[in-house]
Amino acid sequence: MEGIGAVAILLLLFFTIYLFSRLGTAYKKLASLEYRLRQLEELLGGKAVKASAPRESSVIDKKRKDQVSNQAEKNTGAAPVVAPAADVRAQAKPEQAPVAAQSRVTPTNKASGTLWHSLEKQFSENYTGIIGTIIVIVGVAFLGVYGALKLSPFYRFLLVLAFAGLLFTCYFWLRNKKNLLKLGLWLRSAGGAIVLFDCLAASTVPALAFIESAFGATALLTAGILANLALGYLGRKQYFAALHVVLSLVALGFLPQTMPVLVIAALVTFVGILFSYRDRWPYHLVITLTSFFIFHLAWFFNIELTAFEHALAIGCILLVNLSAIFIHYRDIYANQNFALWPLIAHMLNWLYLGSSLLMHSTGSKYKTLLIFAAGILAFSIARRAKKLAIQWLYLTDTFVSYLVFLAATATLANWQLEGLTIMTLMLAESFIFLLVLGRERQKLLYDMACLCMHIVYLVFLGFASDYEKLDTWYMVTMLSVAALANLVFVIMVDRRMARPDNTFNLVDAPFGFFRFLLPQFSLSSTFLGILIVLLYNQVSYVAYSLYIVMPLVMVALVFRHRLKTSQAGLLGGLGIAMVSIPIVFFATQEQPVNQFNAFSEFIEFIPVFLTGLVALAFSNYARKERRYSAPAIYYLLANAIIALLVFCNPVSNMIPGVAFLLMAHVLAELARWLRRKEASFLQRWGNIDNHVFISAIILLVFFLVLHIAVHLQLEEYWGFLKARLAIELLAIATLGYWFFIDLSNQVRATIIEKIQPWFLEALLVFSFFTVLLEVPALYQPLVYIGMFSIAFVAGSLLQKARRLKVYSIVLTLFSAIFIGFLSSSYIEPSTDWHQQQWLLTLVAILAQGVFLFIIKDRSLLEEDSGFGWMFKFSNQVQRYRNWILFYPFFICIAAFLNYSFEKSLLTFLWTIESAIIFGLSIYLRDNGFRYFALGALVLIIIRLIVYDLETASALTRALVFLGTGGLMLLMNYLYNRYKDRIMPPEENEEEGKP
Amino acid sequence: MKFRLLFWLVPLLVGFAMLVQLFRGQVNTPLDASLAPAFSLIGKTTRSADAVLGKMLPVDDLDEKELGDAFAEKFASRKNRAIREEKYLNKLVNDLSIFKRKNFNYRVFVLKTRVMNAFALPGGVILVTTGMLRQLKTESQLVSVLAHEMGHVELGHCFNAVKVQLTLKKAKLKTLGKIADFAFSVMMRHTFSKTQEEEADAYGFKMLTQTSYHVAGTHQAFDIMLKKHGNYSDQKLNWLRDYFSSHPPLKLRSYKYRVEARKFIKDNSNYYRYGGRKNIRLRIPYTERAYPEEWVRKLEDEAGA
Repeated sequence: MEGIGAVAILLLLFFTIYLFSRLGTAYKKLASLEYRLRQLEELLGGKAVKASAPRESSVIDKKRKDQVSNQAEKNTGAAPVVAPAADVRAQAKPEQAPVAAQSRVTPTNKASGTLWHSLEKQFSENYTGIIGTIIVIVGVAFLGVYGALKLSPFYRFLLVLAFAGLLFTCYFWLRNKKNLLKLGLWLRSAGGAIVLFDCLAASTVPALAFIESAFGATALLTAGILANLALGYLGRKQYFAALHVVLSLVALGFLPQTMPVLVIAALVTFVGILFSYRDRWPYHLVITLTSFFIFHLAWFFNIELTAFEHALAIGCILLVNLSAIFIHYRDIYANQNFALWPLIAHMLNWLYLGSSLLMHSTGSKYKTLLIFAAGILAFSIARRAKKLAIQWLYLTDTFVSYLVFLAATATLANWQLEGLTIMTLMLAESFIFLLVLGRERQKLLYDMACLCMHIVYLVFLGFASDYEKLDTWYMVTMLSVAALANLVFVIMVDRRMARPDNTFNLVDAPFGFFRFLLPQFSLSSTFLGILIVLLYNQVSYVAYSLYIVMPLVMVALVFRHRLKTSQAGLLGGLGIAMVSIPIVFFATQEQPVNQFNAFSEFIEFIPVFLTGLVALAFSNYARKERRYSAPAIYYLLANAIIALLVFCNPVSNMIPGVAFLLMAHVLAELARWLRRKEASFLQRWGNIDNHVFISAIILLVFFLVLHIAVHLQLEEYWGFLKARLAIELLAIATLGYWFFIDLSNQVRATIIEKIQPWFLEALLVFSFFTVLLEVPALYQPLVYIGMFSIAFVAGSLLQKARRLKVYSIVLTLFSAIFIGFLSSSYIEPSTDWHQQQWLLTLVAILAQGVFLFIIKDRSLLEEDSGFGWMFKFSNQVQRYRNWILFYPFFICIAAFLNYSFEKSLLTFLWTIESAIIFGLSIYLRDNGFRYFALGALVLIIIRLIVYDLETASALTRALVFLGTGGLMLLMNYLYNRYKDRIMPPEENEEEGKP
Repeated sequence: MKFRLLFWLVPLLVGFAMLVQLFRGQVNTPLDASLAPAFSLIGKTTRSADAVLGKMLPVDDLDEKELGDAFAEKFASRKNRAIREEKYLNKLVNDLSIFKRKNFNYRVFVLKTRVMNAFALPGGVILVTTGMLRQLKTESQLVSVLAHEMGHVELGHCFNAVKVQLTLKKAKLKTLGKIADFAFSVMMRHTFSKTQEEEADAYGFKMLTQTSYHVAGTHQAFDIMLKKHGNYSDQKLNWLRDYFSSHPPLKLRSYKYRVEARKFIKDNSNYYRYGGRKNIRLRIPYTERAYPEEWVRKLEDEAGA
């Protein structure tokens, strides 16, 4: 019964295949029929075209008509075209129409046609085969399921085997048919796969398992594998070969993981690799090697191995991977161009080899020798690749040899070497390697190795930072060796390989951020800087150790200067050391700086300044023939600021601020001196004058900050003068000097020209706040009068400070407001006459009045000197002098009288003021004053009637009335007496009113 | 050229001399860094604006006096008053009133609390706590405190604090005025409260120099408060605290008036001033009974130093 069932199934399969084959025949016949029909149409010629024309798209037809009619229109000028489309069509050659139609649709059709054709080809050539194979296998699976229900295991085995045989038969049948050869090949491979799985299932799948002994199972499976390998070989394509190797390994993966299984797998892979010797089969190689690696991985974790088995496994690995390595050392690969897939295959092979061997590491320290030997081997064969002109292989294996050497060095840990020593050796190796590559001018390889070296450096620094566990002098030795090696490397190699334009490539990309920050950045030199810092960190507890470390930096700086290198990267690296060492100096201080040790600590710190000076003097950038003066200047500046703050504060916290001010004063003069040098000198020194000037400004800012936060607390006196005021006067003198010195340069206009004019404003603001702080409010009106008087005189005398006259007017107004509304708020609890607020304010009013009358007719700004608003304001002041200068002043005097004296006397006092203004109007022949005085008088009379009559006592009232009346009479007398001095209103009108 | 060199060289040499002087004298400020003086300085501008606004409003000393009388009535009607202390303090303040400019009398009341404080209200009402009386060691110290509070009143600080209230009171909108003053106080007062305190300190010290009391009273009072309160013990910069604090750091105030007192003594060679340790203990003003041993010359000799 079972046999009948099996035969029935087989018949069914045959029938299916027959049907498929008939379908193929039918397709062929149909294609032949179409071909003949086309030939027949061609024979018919124009008729055929005409007959086919109506079948074309009406849209195309319409377009064609339009095109032709447009063409006709162009040919006949503006003449209307009435010729019917049919005639036009008749004029055109019959065969042109389809061509034109075709040409219009070709671009898209062609593109889509090509794409479609490509897809179709891919699908037809490969995927139909693959999918077909899968479908067949699924079918077999179904049969297996069926068979599992109906047949015994052995029959099932035979059934599946027969099915595979059937597929082979199909292949033999199809191989001579041109279009079906591909299908036949896939069917054959499917057959091979089925045989293999059948062999496997004979011992592992319960439904098919009929072999019980391990040997029998392995033997049967080996037979299946051999069949598969044979099929792979016969396939002559890398896809078939890869498929059969992978299938074989997968099948082996199902067996219990024993040593023989690995040996078989290695042999299978080896055979698979041997297939690659026939041609360049990179995909096959990649797939095969990866499959074996995965197989080995799975095998390794499922087995316990003895030392011998480890050795045997290593043998298997070497067999596979070494055979793969040497594949690429054949003439067939000789090519100077970059070959991606062979490179990938090769690199993967090295990776798999290294990883697999690592897995079988037994911990023996002698492996170091083996790995070194492997490195030498890799390096040697790389030289052979160079001889064979296989460029990519040469690069790859050279790089691999470098990595192997690094790995070998890493295993020195088994020889009880310290991690830092190992890392130092690795660095040394890296330097030697890069030296070789530098000599061979291998840019790509150099960059890759550089990247690795940087990683080694990072690890090295990681070890070095764990310094607490290690002996200091051992650390110092290692760091010194590394620093020296780095210096030699940077000097001898790195600068040669540097890109002239300082661009960075893929290898540099991880560090591109740094280059973005600092274009002259060099990672190697950065590490050098870090090494020096670490070195100093080790010896920082030793007194005067800066005198040892900083000279190293100085020597490096001088070296860099003398190298005339095109890149200043070394400067960047040393910059890290220069910046970090002072930080370490302060951070590792055992006791804080105090007034007892400040001096000795400062002496210890001196090398930092010397280094800054060396950096300034030796900072050339040869290609551009200029020096980078800026970093050194700001370095010196920063350290000077820090040193003053740290070393002087314990003695007196007032010293740093004053010192900053003096330094700014000196630097301003230095900037002036530098700006008188030739332009070429300044350019060569990287605009040193600008940086000196900016440094001075920074110092001024620091002075201001300290002045606000520290100096303002100071209340001590130096003789009659307050110490704080003395410092403020010094600052005013410095600011004044800054403003008045000539910093201009005829050739170069720089930031200095923009900043310097503003020192006048800085001077004024600082002076104003100084007065506000230092002068008691009682005396402030007098001081303001002094200030604006000086400002006006200075503005009149000095062309550069003309605008001081405008500021003087502004101050005048401020002073008037102070007199009127504020002075009465500042009283002293004193009975001394010279400390009476009203008296002092009256003196101030008198002085301000005198000042205003002196400047009354003087001009302010004759021309616009760059401060537009000032010029406008000046014009307005001159035009509306009374309204801006005098009337507010008079009103403020009235306010002062109001707030400072008895209310009952106010009417009388205001009348005095009014009378004085009236008198002035006559004296000055100013109608505006007269109108103001008379207007005020009207208000006074109203107050007299409304307020004084009601509130004042009888005596006061009488006295006020008498006084006010008397003054009015005086005014009347003055008016009549000096009538002739009073100008006609029309002549004075312009001056008095806006 | 020579002038330029002179203008350059003179500040340089003067500055160098300053550095030498600072180094030799090892001059240090009381705090490492503080922004309180800077805020006080800037506060002068807002304080001036506030003062100008106060001048503009239609209120005067009479309005302030009226408010002061109301306060005084309230405090006078309290039970459990420290009559003896109040009498003593009022005698002292009456003696100081020769320096006043305002047209009202000063009245002092005592608040029974251990907190060491004193403050002034508009209209010449001064409140002193028993804690303050207990802690101060000499009459000169007590007078310096009273002079400081009088300074607040005389300089218009108290008046300005209630100016809107007084103005709107006339329009029967007293509550609205209170709210306006309170809002202004919350938003603006911290910008110039330190300035006002500095002004009151200066006023108080000046007043002390005009009396027979020892000028060390001012800084000694600050020292006692510093010991009691210990504020600003932190030497480091704390700009937030410096800004929002209503008073300048006590260390700075004490230091300032110690220096001023030293200078005053130096400038007045025949200097003998009254301390009044016994007077404050016995609550008898120096003007009523002076003890010969209380006359001291040098700063260090002053009673209570």
